[in-house]
Amino acid sequence: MADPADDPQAVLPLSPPVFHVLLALGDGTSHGYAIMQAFEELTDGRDHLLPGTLYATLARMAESGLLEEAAPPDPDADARRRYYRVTPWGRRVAVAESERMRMLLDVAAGRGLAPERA
Amino acid sequence: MSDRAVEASLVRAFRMAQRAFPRDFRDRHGREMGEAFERALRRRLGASGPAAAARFGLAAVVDAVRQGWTERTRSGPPDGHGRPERGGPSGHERGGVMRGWATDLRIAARALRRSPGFTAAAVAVLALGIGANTTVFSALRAAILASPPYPELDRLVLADLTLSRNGEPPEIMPWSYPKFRVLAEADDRLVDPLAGYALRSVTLTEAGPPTRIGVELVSPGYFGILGLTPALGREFGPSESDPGDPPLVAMLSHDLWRGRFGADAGVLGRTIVLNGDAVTVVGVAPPGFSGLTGGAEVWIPMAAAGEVVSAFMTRGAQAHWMRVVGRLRADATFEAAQAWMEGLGRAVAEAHPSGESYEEYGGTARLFEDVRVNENGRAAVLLLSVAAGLVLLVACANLSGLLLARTRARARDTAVRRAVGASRWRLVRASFVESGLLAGLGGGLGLVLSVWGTSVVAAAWPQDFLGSADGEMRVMSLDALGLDLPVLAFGLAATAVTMLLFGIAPAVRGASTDLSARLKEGAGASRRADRVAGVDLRALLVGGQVALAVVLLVGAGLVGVSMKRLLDVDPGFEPEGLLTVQFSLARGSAWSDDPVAFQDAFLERVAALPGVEGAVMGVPPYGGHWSVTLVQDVEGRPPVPPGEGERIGINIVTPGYFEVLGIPLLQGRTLDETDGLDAAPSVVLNRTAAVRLFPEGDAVGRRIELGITDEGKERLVTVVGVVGDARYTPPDEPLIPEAYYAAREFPLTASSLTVRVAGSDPSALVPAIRAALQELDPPTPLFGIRTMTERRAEATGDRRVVLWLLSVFAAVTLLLAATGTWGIVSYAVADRRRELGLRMALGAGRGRVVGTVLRASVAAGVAGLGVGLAMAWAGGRMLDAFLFETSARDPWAFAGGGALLLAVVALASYVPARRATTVDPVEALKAE
Repeated sequence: MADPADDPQAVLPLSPPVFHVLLALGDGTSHGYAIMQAFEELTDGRDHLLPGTLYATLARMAESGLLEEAAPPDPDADARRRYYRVTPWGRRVAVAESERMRMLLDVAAGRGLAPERA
Repeated sequence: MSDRAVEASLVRAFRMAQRAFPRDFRDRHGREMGEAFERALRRRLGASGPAAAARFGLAAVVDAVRQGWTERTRSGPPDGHGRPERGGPSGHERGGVMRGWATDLRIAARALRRSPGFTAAAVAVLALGIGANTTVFSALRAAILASPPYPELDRLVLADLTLSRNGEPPEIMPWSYPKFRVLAEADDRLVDPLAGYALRSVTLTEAGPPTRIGVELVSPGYFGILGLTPALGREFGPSESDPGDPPLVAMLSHDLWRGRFGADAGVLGRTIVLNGDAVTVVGVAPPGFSGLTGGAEVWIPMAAAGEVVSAFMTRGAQAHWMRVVGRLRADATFEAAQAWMEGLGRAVAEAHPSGESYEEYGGTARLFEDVRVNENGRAAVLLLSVAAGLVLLVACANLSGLLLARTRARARDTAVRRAVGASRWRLVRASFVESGLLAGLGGGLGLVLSVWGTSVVAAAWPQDFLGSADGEMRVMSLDALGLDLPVLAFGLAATAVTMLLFGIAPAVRGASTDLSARLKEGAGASRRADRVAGVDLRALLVGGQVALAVVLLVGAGLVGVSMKRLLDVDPGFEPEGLLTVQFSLARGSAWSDDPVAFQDAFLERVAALPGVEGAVMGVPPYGGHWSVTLVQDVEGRPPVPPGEGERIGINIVTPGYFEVLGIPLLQGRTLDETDGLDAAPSVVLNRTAAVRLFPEGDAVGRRIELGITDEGKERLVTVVGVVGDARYTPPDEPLIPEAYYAAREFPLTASSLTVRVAGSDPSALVPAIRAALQELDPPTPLFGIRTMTERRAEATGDRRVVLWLLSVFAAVTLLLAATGTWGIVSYAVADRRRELGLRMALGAGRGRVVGTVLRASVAAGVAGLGVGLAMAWAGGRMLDAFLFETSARDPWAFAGGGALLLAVVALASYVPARRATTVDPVEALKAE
């Protein structure tokens, strides 16, 4: 961890779309529309990614190494689409961001600002 | 609104919004993004209904525009975490002004790369405009503006002798050597120092084969007056000015020294042989200097002219052959010097009276700067500058049209930029940057074009344009014509002006584009937007290009008509298959005592060469005159008052001259071997002489006096024949009377040989003729080698160059006007698709629709034509110097130029207008 470029803390906080894409992709390999849909399902339709933001975000994440393009997961998949998966670096960044959020959430709970879980 | 309609319109809006992304991004992700949007939209329509779907759709459209714009302006690699830009100030706006410019430049470069057709057209148009201007400006500089490198030019004057005949206004005259001595030795000279100069040609026999070279005869101090220091050795000193003890010394030109003497410093003190006289080299002139006459390769002191060139030159007080250059004395004004010269002229006349009561000599002074370029040269450069300026203006109008169409095509892009918060200033700036980039590219290519153009112009530019009006001075030169720094600066200035001219209109328009109208509507409302202050820009651009183009077309037409009339002038002989060369027997040649024997021997040898159909001697057509004199007496008529006789050209010709040249015999006989042998000279007159002197047609057998009498010959000569009028001067000069003497009458050591050759290339015979001369008389060189076709071309050379350049400019503007009109009409048609489709749907015929479109552009064209013809009418004066038997308001040129342009505009409008009728009305309406 000597190289600061290798420190996930250096790129935090993540912008919401980037974090959302990391969450939606998880360990899988998926294409843009599926990511969009997955995110919506993960949030029960309460939040969504708009296509313009999504594809711009995907392109930039691929450029900066958080994602990489991957082969379609199964032979029946639409070969014209671009498929993405999270890189190890992307994974570390996602974990770091989640930790940061948890810490913030703990602080908020301590001040009575966080909603109680049902 | 049905679900389907909502879906379709949102999908269309999203596609449009996607255009905010740069093309390369769209190529990679566009299709997928579009599909994702459609699927998400459809899912929402099904699940939540049209209202929710519409909310989502609109949000997606705005989001796409934002992200696209961010993607477009994102510079450099993304920051480490790939954070997308959100709305608000974007990176480059935070990054300072310079970074903004750099971003604009990058965007502009990308935008230009993306429309190669537009970019190529714009750059080509600019390059033509700037190239023409830079070329002409280079010529202008070299031919007129560039001052010769002499110090204090405003103190440099020509001191002239003047002559008034019969009270006519005085004309400037060359000096004779004895008269020049009066000037040079006058007390209290206001022009001091001063020096005489004149150009002659001599034969150089040293360090190579005998060569005819130009020699300037100059008096001591000549180089000093011009502020020149010899590169080597010295110039002539005051002691070298005594014709009684001819100073046999010479200076070499830098070029001759390098070319013929290998730049050997040991050349000083060597002797060279000029016209058979050995002269000692005492100096070498500075590089690039070839005398005020522009033709000097060697200089010798004027006092040696009698010895080296011709004995009469230093003796005859009435032999006028030299000019005088000098500097105003430090305390003298130019006006005082002029007055002083007037008085001096009278003193000269008293010292050397001409003996003719009708002649009155005087003197004057002229400023060197006023004299060095003649009016025709100035007029040619001015004319071409105006023409090049018109080309540039048309180019700008053309570009404005291109950019107008482009601005329209990108109106949505502009609206999108405004929507995401780009300021008006930023949009204007972006537009400027794009214009600037185009202007830079066009300017660069234009400079390349002008490098090529100047070399062409330098080669074609007539020498006559570079000298003074009387031809006694030629200090301007196009040898070094090229793109120097000021010319480069001019090219760049032209580029900048062009950029301003065509950058402003689109920038202003681009910025004022109504945002909501642009986002909501199609292109239908755009025609209103093409009006600035109530003026229809499109009509203005079409009309403007037509107006400027017609000026050039009419100009080229006028010069073209003149050229045709000039070429139609009957030369009076058969010019094809003729070769002309000159010779001058070397001093000390074995033939010098009997030049007629030499002529016979030379002619005999040449006539025996294969392919030769005839060979004669005498001044050839277009070769000027051996001499021009006045008819002094016609036998049986009252005496002619002194100085008032008919001017008549004299030629000295060998037997067969008229037959070989194809000059027709009209009356009597031609000259033969018997003429010139007895004491009663015979002459042949040309038709003009016969008609002027003997209007009753009875010339043959009459006797006249021509003022050139040889000792032992009769004063009156008998007319034995009349021949047709052959041209000895350029075809735009009036014919004058000519009299031909037999060669035996005046044995000449120098003459011209004219040979009629079978076959297509007369110049192929030159080596054989040179060999024949070499065999007869080794030290005599051949020079002035030209075919008659070449002589004829030279005689019309000035106009030829002007016509040629004007035609190129006219053709370029015609092309620009045609493509410009085409482009503007195409764009208008594209704009009116819906309206035209509607009209056709309502039953308007194709002719009607084409007519509607044509009417607008033809109306603009006709208006432009009217303005252009009026401009040409008013500006025709500029062409006066280049017209021949053609009025500057020649109806044919005006009608022809106007008709051609109108036809071109109509065609350039008709083709795109036709396309309007191929619009399927239903499609056109649906497209909206």
